[in-house]
Amino acid sequence: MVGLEELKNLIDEAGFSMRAKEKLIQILTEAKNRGSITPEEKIKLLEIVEADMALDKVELEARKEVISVLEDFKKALEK
Amino acid sequence: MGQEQPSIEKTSEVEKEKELERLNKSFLKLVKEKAGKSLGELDYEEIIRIGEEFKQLPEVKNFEARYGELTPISPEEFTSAQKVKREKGGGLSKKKRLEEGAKEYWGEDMWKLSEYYRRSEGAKKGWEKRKEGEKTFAEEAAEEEQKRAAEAKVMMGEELPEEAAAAEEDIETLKKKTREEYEKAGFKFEYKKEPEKKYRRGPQRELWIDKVGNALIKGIDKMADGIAISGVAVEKGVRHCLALGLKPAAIIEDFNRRIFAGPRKFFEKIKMRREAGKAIEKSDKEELDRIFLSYSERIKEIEEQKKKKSRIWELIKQIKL
Repeated sequence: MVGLEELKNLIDEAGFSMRAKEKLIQILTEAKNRGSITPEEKIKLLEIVEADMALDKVELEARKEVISVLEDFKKALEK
Repeated sequence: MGQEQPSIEKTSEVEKEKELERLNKSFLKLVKEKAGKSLGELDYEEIIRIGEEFKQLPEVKNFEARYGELTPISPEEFTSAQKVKREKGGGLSKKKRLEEGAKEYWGEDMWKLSEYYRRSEGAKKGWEKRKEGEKTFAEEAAEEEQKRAAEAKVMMGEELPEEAAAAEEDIETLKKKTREEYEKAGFKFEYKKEPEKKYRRGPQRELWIDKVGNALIKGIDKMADGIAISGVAVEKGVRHCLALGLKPAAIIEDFNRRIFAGPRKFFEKIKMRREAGKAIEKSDKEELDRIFLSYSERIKEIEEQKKKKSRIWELIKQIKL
């Protein structure tokens, strides 16, 4: 199983939003200093990761919609 | 405000309930597959055996990682429930069983067997307490949930209380505020009574969505006078803002800056050029291509990050307490 320190490194490189990353690192650091993680902390970590991924999804959809409109515009220009 | 208030607790509870509904369906399906009969026809040993297999499903493990272990009721409780069922109309439809008082079959709060696996230890306690006239499981669970949510609020840091309070506002206020934020940022707001199919939900079929008062705004659209950016609402906004300790407005601002600002500037330039009777230039087309490219790259990047984040989610889930 991955250690908390290793997890922090993975989080650092995964492209989380700044706010999500700060929260995740903060919780992990506190857990590491204490030597254990509480169920609440674990749930919170999962929720933050889920939240960040959900925002990515929203961004992804938004960008795809932008591309779709740009494509329409490009087609219109070509005509 | 006199109407159902959106809140973090309720959001979490709603999601949990939805997940439980899915688990219940899986459990019933598994019973059919493994036993070839319906749930009500099984004896206790069969239920427990299938329940053990059920608990090996990844979706159940995921659920347990988030909400705690699910355990079945005891043989004594089962026997007692069967007795009630015989006396009070077992075999009727679920609705009828409830109506006829057969809900006692599974106790007031667990009237269907598939809920064995959602009530866990609390069910046993609740069963005993109901007998003694104390608080029911549901009451205990509600208190627990409130306590957990209160603790979660504290853990979220200083911005959350304000956001939590904001989430308590009624949906109309939230919609209004978000609309104002959006318009202040310079976007045209468009309220669609007939949203795209993927956004249809519930009897109102509104784009503004559901119980939580979700109000994150994103999107682009074509307007009658040319191409411009306007708004559509997307789901999930408020909850995710809250989970990250962000205001919905901050997300809108971030989206405006990172996603919409570039194309909007481009289209504004094109519009001005058209209004001045000028033709589209080669440099415009090149700019369009550049926007395309940067958007495609960012989409790839998000998809790559999704894999990393999913992996991290799995690793967190595996952390032993």
